[in-house]
Formats: sequence, C-alpha cells, structure tokens
Amino acid sequence: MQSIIIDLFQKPGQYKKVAGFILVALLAAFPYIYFNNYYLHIAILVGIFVILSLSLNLITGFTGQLCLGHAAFYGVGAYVGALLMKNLQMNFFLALIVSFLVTGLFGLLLGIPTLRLRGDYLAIVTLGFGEIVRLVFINWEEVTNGPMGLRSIPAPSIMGFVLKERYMFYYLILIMVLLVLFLMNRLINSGFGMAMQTIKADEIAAESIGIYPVKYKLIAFILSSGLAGVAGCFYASYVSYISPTTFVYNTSVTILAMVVLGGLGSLAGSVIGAAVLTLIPEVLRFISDYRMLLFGALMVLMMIFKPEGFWGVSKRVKNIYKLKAGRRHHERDIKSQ
Amino acid sequence: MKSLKKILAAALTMALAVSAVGCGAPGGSGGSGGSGDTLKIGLATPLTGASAEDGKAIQEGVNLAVKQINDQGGIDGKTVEVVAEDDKGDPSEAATVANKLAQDESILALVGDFNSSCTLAGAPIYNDAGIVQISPGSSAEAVTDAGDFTFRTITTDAVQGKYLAKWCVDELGYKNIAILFENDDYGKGLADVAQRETEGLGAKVVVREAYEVNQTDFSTVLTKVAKAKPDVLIIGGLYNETALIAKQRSKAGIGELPIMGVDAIYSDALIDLGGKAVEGIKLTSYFSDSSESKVTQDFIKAYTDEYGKAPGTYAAYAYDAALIIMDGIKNAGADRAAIRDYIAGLQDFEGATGTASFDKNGDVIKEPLRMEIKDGKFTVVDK
Repeated sequence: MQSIIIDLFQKPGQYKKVAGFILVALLAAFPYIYFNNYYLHIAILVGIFVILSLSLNLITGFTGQLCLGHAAFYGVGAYVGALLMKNLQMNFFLALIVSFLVTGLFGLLLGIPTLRLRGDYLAIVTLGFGEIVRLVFINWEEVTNGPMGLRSIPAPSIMGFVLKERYMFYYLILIMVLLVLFLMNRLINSGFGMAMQTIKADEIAAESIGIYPVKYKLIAFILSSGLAGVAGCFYASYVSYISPTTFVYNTSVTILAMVVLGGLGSLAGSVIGAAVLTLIPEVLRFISDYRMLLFGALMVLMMIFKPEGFWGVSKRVKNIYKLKAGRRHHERDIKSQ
Repeated sequence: MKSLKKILAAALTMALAVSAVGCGAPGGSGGSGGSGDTLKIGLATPLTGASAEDGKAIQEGVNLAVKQINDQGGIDGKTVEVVAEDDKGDPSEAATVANKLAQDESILALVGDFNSSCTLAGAPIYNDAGIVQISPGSSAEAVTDAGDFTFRTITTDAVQGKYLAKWCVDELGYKNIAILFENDDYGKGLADVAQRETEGLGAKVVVREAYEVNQTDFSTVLTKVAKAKPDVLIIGGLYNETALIAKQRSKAGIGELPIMGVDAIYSDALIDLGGKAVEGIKLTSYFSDSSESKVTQDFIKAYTDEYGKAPGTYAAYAYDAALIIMDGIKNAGADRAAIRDYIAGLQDFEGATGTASFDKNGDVIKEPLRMEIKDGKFTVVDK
C-alpha cells in the first residue's frame, strides 16, 4: 500500500492521468446519469465557455496581454459560421475551420499594430474592436439581418446524420473541449509556450535571450481569437439563433472574469473558472431578483480572499517547493539526472 | 491570518455547495413530480438588466391574473402557481430559461419572453418541447413564423405601424415624415414599417435617424430633424427616450412639431418625465385607462388595489396572456398539446387589451385605440 502511494507521489504524471481518465469517464457518462435537457444545456454552455476562457487565457494568462474584446471574436465566429451554414449550406465542421481562420485573421489585423507596443494598448484596441463589431452586427443589415439576428441556423450533420438532440451536442462539445485542452497543454509545455511565459514574466529579458516578443504575442493572439471563433460557430449551430445582444462587452468581461477567477496562466483554472461562473448564476436562480447581486458579491469576496484564482500560481508552485524541501526521493531523482 | 483566509474560503465553498444541493433537489423532483394540487404556468421575463422595469410589470400582470383565478377557487379546485425565471433580456440567457421551463413537465404553458430577440431564441426550444409560449411584448415581424407553439397578445409592429401611418398621412394630412428610432430590433422594425407604410400612402420620409437606448442628449439627431423640416415626428422607441426627445425638441427650434408613437410609449412615466412637453403626443395603443371595456376597468382597479400604482401597457398584455393560458387549462385540461390546440382556435377573447383572436401564425388580431395626451392624461380620441 505504502509503495503505491509513494509511487503516485514519485510519478505525479501517473496520478494525474488516472484522475483525468476518471473525470473524462464521468463526463462521458453524464447524459446517462442525468438525462435532463436543462442540465445538458448548462453543461454545453460550460463547454462553450471553457473554450472561450482557455483561448483568452492563452493571450492574457500565458502571454500577459490584456484583451477586453473576446466576445467580439466569439461573435465574429458565430456570424461567420451561421452565414456559411445558412446561406451556402456549408458543412458544420468545414464552417468551424473557416470560422477559426476568419477570426484568426481579425486577430492578426488587430495584433500587428498593437502588439508591437508595450503596455495595455491591446486592452484599449480590443475594447474598441468589441464595440465596432457589435455596431457592425446591428447596422450591416443586408448580411447580419441587424438587431433581429439570424434564425434557423442548421444543426451539424455528419454524412447525412443530423445532430439535433442535446446529448449529441454535449458529446460534440466534450470532444472539442478535450481536443482544445490537449492542444493547449502541448502548446504551453512546448518551447513555444515557454517563450510565451518568458515574455509574460519580462519582455526585455525575453528579448535579451533571443525571443522576439512580437512574433510570439502575435501567434498567441491569432490562436486565441481563432479558438473564440470556433466556440462562436458551435454556439450558433447549437442555439440556432444569434443576435448582436449576445456578443457585447458584458460577455467579454464575463470571460475575463472566468480566466482571472480560475487563475491566470492555468489550464485547469480556466476550466474551473468557466464551470463555476456559468453554474453559480444558475444555482442562484431561486433567489431571482438578488441573484446577480449575490453573484457580484461572491466575485468580490473571491478576489479579496483568493486573488490568484481557484487554481492560482501558489497551488502549482507550492508543490515543487514541498518536494524540494521535504522528500528525499525527490532529491534522489535530481541526483540521478 | 493565513488560516483565517483558508477558513473563510472553505466556508464560502461550503455555502455554495449547500445552496447548490438545496436548489438541485426541488429542480430534480420537479421534472418527474406530479401536478398534485397545483397547476404550474411558467413566466420568462427580464427581472434584471435593461428591460427589468417592463419585466417586473409583466410579472405583476401575470401574478394578478393568477391570484384572481386562485381567489375564485382555482381551476377545477387546483391552485395555479407561477414559476418565474429571469431571462435578463439576453437571448443566450433566454435559451437557458427555455430549457429549464420546457424540461419541467409539470409546467403546462408559459408567458414569455418580452424582448423579440429572446422570444426568437426561446421559440425553437419551446416548439421542440411542445409547450405554448405567449409573448406579452415581442412585436417584431419575425416572431410571426417562429412556430406553432408561439403566440403573442401584442400585435406586430406591422399592424400598429400600418394603422399609425394611415392615421398620420390619410387623416391628419402629414406629408413630410421624420422618423427617430432606438437602435435595436424593436425600434428598427418599427421604423421600417412606418417608412414603408407612410411612403406607400404618398408621404415622404425626409429624415430617419437612430438613437441609442438610454441616450440622454438628443441634440444631434434633433438638429438633423429640424433641418429636414418635417410635418410630423414618428418615434419608434420607449417612453423614457420619447419624453426626453419631446423636452429637447424646443431647443432645436421645433418645439411645435407634432409627435406620434405606438403603444410602447404608453406609460405614466412618459407624462411624469415629459411634463408639458409631451402634451399633444398622439399614439396608438390597445390598452387605455379611459377605455370603456368592463374587463379593462376591472383590471385597472384590481392592479391599482394590489400594487398601489396604475398598470402600464405590458402589465396588461401579460395579464391577458396569463388569462388565455388559464382559460386554455380550464377548457382543454392539463395537457400541453391540448392547450395549444385550444388557444390556436380561440375567438374573441375579452381581455384588458381588447378583444383578441389568433390567426394561423399565432399572431393576435385586435383593433388599436387612438390616444392623445391632453392635460397631462392619456385620452382616447377619434382623430
């Protein structure tokens, strides 16, 4: 028994793998445990926001650039996807890729002039971009149908099989989330990810060791906006109706809150942040009028008592220190290297 | 200090977990739960956010209708209960609320949503689940073909806009029209209809400008209006902005320009905010406290007794929607599909907003009233 526990501590990767496998199995079984369309809907929303907060974390958490217009990319993805599926009868999965490319292109165009500067210029530019996009959605009536929004957006289909039940959307978003998580995890732990985090820590130091910040910031920003577009495309196909009021500044702030509350620069944090901030308003429904008030109060309390988020830096760093300080086998590991 | 933080954090998490469990239990049993001694009707309306004021009025209208039925002994001896959910005026939230209400099979039909975009977001879910939704406030034309289970007690912008255009051009003889509208689905829809209909009758729209909801300074748009020298100003918006526009128009040198609008500006708040400046504004409405209908007068009295204030137009639409649903339950039984068939065939239902029938699209057919503000009061007029 003792040896198993030690084994788990010696190979944290093993332990994580088991836990991850159990979690995924539970999530996959969820529709069978709770076959309830409302719960499934909330779970799907959590999935959408997990992708959104993960993507924002890439630029804000890992690269340290504040972005206040994430809902605009989400919206562009939703509209691009909706228009392609509705007007050109494009397949959902193809539309997903086009949405990624188009929103990524917007990210590139916004990023080129602003990411060369240091400081919070990106925040201001993305803030403005968010407003412009919203106004374009409202006023470019020939294409977006203005404030009335787009209706009857088709559901995804795989070779003639139409995904129209909620549990099918649930599995689709679950697969998408796992895929995004997997890719992000690989990205963060790659040389590219290290470079990004170095830029976040100190741009000058990064430059001094040969990391060209603009390149990494730009790529991170393109990926970040592209992923938000993917979430938007899925949302449009799932809800089948989109209107400009969904993609407003408020939504950007909510996504940012998910990232910050979850823990900047943490994948698990983004997942937890998105889940908690989507679930709390639902759980609090029973107090109707006061629910947003209490929601706000909870967020303030959270920031006072746990400013680094649910899965903050100390959570991850502390473990390493403990291992270094206390456990002999760890030292042995180091020696053997 | 550190441990104090930890304890607080733990306590907070516990509180959240407990509230989650506490709320989960009734929700879980609600789905399978029997109707027992109560009949449930849903309500999806903005209780927070920008449209909260109208959303609250809608809730009060529905609660009043339900209270009256319950005071008379309920339906077949069962009391009616309202399950209210907040859609925040946000279509994404409306879809969530729709899933929640549609999932609970003990809910027989519902009043909602208020904003047209929310009604459109909820409609696919309600129609999929086969539950009737009656909107008390969505007048956009797109709601017409939203589905077989989607009804409304408010007429479309097209009906009111057409009526207003005829009144304005044919009877009052205005030929040069200015249109100001709020920049959202509602205002834009109304502006489109007003423009199409007045131009169809031979008038000319000389200026058409949008303003933002909650805007307080209208000098820019009013200057543009003044420049175009119109005979009349049609407003596609709500009472707050209309009152401000009426007040600020004298600064632009058009203090005498007549203003016309539709039922969205029918609210005492218009007169409270606008004072002398709103005198003479003409509008169409289905609900009026000077109406001679007995149902309307009874509603106004009951509402005033209950809430200590006069009802607005959306409270009246919501009251009617709730009455129609309960009439459906009474006559068709506690069955979602049967209620839908009953309401679809409903003819000449007497409500607080006039006599209503539904056409094949679930749109209500009613004749509007003409009103004018005279001596600080909404008065029904002939011309």
